[in-house]
Amino acid sequence: MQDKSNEIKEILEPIISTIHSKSEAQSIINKWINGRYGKIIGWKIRTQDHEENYHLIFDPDGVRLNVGEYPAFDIMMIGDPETILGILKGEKHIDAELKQRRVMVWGNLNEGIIFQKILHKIRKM
Amino acid sequence: MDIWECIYTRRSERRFKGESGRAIPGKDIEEILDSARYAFQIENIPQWRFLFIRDQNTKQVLADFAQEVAHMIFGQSYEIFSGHLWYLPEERRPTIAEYTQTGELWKYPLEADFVVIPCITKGAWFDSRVPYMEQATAVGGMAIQNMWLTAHKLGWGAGCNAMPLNDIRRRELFSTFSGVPMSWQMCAAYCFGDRTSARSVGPSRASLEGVAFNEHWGNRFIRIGFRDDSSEIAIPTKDVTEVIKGVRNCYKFDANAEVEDWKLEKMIHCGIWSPNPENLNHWRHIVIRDEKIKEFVAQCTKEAFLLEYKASFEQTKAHHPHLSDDELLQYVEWMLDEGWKYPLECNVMILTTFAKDWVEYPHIAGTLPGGIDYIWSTATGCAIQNMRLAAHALGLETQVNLYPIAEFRRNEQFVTHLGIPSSWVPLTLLCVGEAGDAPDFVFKKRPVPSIKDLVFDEHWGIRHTPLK
Repeated sequence: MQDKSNEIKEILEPIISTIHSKSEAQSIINKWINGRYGKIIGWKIRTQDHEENYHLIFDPDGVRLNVGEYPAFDIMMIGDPETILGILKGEKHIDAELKQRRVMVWGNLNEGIIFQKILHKIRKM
Repeated sequence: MDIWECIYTRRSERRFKGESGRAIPGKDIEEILDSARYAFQIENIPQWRFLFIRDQNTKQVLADFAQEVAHMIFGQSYEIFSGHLWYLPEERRPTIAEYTQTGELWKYPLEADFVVIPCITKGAWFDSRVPYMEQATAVGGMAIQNMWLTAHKLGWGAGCNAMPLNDIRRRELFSTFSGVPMSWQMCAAYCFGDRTSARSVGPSRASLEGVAFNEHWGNRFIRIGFRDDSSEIAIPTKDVTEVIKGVRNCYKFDANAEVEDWKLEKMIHCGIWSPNPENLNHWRHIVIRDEKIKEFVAQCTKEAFLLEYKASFEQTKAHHPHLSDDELLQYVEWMLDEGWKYPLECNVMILTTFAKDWVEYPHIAGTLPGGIDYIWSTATGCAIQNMRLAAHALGLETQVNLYPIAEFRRNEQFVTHLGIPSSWVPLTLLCVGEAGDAPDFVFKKRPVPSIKDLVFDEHWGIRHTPLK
């Protein structure tokens, strides 16, 4: 599997930039965080012989994308490159992929669904 | 299976295939039972025995009891029950309530391949200085967690059904039926079997900041991701069985070795991912690095060691069968001079507390004598075991310290100093650090009791026959 970090950056950097530049985007994040310190969403992109880890840290000051596995995530999504990138792009729905067993979620699925909706909302801003 | 994969993908399974499913092979059952004996034992004396059940008639009794009690508890109020489903959107809650409130869901002991009922001694072997049932039941929980993870590794499902042995009348009936003496507390029915399908989502847990404090109750432990750079963390891993067998009690820490915060996060996170009754997230952890508190704990340990090692050589000998008389004399001397200092030398301590008073079910699940309060301490034991396993996988060592907790005056001082509300019960103090240098006899491996001495087949007193 080829390193997916460039593709991940390509998908997420416009969203990160919108959150940092538009107050209404940050207010969507703050509403989601709802008084907590923040949320940490991770994902594992897996093939049979390879794994890549990434995580996003959302807090009231913005969002950061990091390469690597976060030790104490709120949700972790695990799937093949096509599925995970599809979810991040908004082309695939996490709950539908879950039903097909193409993705696994460690943590609260509803949070995963909200996370995907938020990405979608901010992408359209 | 990788330890992290095992901890994060283990689920509480409540749907088994029953007769249409695969029977668990004998060698898998033996491996599952065997994993229990590697867990922590206070003074190296197993405070638990397991009742191993495969008989369908006994499973039927458990299933009937479970359904009756679950219907009684969950059926009384949708409003209360829906609160248990805090992690779901409101519109999805009635569907779950529908099959839970009738108690139908809880009949799964009938479909399980085998059921294990942990029985915890109510104060036998008082020379082991465990005055409280909470600690003994937590130790039972540590053993159960090893079995749960092992079953999961082998591809089998497991679930804790607290319902059948919740109330004292049914427990009495089951005691008569199974021969379990009333001096042993039965803590739930752990069901193992061929699950209908692996759960690929969940569990829903509180955020780490919601359950972990820094130095003092109420002072949130904030994840490093919210206060520093978390991009360069490389998490090592190990095979789950290797970790289960590798955890040891560390009496000597390297006082100069620091435990990074992310490793503590990982440990607590694994605790959060342990099985949790009704998903009530009933534990809180306090991370302690304060030197004054360490001194206090060390003094408690010193006093306890004086009592323990100066009281009776015969008793000490009985607790240390792995040491020759010569070694034991050196060991006792070392423990009195050096051994008690481990709380000072460890880098960090994690105090785990739990809440046993969930008043939403008064008269059923609260603190009534014979109520289900020991389910909470047992489950917290599972969380502590996950933390110990995580520590070992991260290259750290741990020691379970009970001394400031098990003695009531010290406990009072400790609780007041840390600001722990009276509704939360301190359970264990986990000392964490890297191992230091000590004479060989300190780290000499203790013998692990044999499973045939710890497990009874179908009825109390019938020693387990290993399966092939």
